[in-house]
Amino acid sequence: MQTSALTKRSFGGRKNIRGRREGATGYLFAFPAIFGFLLLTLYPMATSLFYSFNKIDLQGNMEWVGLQNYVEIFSNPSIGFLKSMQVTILYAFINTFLIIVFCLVVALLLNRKFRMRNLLRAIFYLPAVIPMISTAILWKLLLQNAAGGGLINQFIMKVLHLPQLNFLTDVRLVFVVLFAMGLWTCGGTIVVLLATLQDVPRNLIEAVELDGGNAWHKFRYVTYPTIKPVLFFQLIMCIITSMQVFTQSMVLSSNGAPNRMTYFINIMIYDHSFKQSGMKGIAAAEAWAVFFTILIITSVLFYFQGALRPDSDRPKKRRGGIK
Amino acid sequence: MNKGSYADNTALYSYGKLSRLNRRRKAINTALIVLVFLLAILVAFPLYWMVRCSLVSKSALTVPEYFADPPGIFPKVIQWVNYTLGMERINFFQQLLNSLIITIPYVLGNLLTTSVSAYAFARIRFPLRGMWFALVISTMMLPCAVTLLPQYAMYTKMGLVGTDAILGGRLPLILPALFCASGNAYFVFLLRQFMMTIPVEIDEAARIDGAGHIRIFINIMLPLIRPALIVVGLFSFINCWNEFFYSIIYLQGEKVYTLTLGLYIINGVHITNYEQVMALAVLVSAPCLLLFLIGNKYFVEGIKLSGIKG
Repeated sequence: MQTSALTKRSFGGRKNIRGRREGATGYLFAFPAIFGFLLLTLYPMATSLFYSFNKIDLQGNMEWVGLQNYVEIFSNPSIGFLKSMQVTILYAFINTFLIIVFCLVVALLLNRKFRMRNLLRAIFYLPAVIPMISTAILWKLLLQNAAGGGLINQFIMKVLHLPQLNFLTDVRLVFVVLFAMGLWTCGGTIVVLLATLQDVPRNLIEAVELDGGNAWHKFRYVTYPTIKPVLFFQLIMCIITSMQVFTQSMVLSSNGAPNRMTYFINIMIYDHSFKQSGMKGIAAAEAWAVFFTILIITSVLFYFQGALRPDSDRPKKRRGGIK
Repeated sequence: MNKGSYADNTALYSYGKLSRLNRRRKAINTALIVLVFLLAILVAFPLYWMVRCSLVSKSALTVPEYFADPPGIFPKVIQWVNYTLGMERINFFQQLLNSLIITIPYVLGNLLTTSVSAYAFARIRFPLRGMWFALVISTMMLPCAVTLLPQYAMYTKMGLVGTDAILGGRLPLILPALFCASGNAYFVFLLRQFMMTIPVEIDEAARIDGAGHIRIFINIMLPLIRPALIVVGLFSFINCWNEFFYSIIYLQGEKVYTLTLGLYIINGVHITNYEQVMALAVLVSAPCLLLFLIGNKYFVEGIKLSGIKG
């Protein structure tokens, strides 16, 4: 139907048939993606929205309860939704901040000519290809207590002569373990930023140098505006993936210990969907609440990205002045 | 400011001042390179530690050679037996086979469907193309939890879940690759970007010679996008091999456990023999590391391709 409407507009006569055939071929080629979107994304999304308005019992019988699931997850602390949301957002924001800063610093450091540069780039990227399970087990071992073989604690005790830190059981220090894993596996962002830094116009950097600008000026007025779109994209993706942290937390403890500080939303939804019984409706409501939260966070970020645009245009005017 | 004033400015510097400035800049540059080397050592160290711990005795794990009395640099005893012991503790070869049963169709299916779809979005004019492309790409940003339960219910209704189902219930892990779903839309995007860089004149010439889209796709496009296909193959292998979230949901019996799941289970059950767990962690990571070392160039190209246009 849509095909004929459009072809009528854009083609006439004999070409009409060709255009329609072209359209049909297009749908045939794009079938996996379009069908996949409808069957594996759109339909499940709509169904899960429907689920979230129902009470689903063990047999799978549904009873329409309206917004009750949503009211419950926001008002009943024993479900753990609000706490889970808090720790997840806390983790996601700090983790993203650390990753972006670290990756930017490393990319800027690598962005100069020296021998073994490609080797270093490979080293920074290498941890990103390792299965997260291996990474998590490795860091768990590194940060364990000294008697269990934790190297860092052995170092703290034997070299620094300080009492050891309970990285795995302390409600705050457990985040150190998670951030360490996050920073260790962020090599992809380093490679992307490093590649983007190649696009920074050399002549503008030289112009700032001639103007007597220091390293900060070069970064602020030339480098940053050039890499900003990519940096922003990395930031968004990093927040989204950090919000969905699962494997690391499962390896540390599958129930969010200590004190549910690692009971992140995906762990919680997995728990409510498959381990607890009769909470599927609640789980669907939680999933939709998470979806909305991510939507809001990304929209706010996009808004600020747009709002900051006049600022990043400024060096362009300067550019004109210099030339 | 005009050009003349710069020349005047630089003329004011005496030669000595300039060379001192140059020397200072060189020193800073060297210091920064040293710093990045130190950071790289810091990043590489856990990798070394993983391999090291997989080879030592249990006593060297709790008291590493640096802190032993007398201290050393390398462990005294190298125990390859950790690997065989570790492999015996999980059903290693069965789980390796299970991983491959999922990974091979996943990667091949992914290559086929993402390239075909990408071709449609890059080269064929069809109604609502832009809308469909945007929708497909937007699934990249979708949290997987929001589709989880209905997908599970749907697969169950189709009889694809459980160890008695077709392929031992592995199909729900493979199907998303065949339909560019759950993160694989990213590859459609990547391949489309790559196809857009190939001049349209090439297919127009073929079309004048009477070739249809299928001919153009197979005989012209596929050979030209080979580097991008290698990137997709590598990435999707690593994604599938490392997959955990859906594996733990859909793989419901020890018979069908993959290596990542096996490693997870052994980490939960036995915490005492860490050297054997580490040996297994090395074994599970090895294919990914190996692929990375072989295809390093492609990885870097692929990441650049995907990140920059984002």
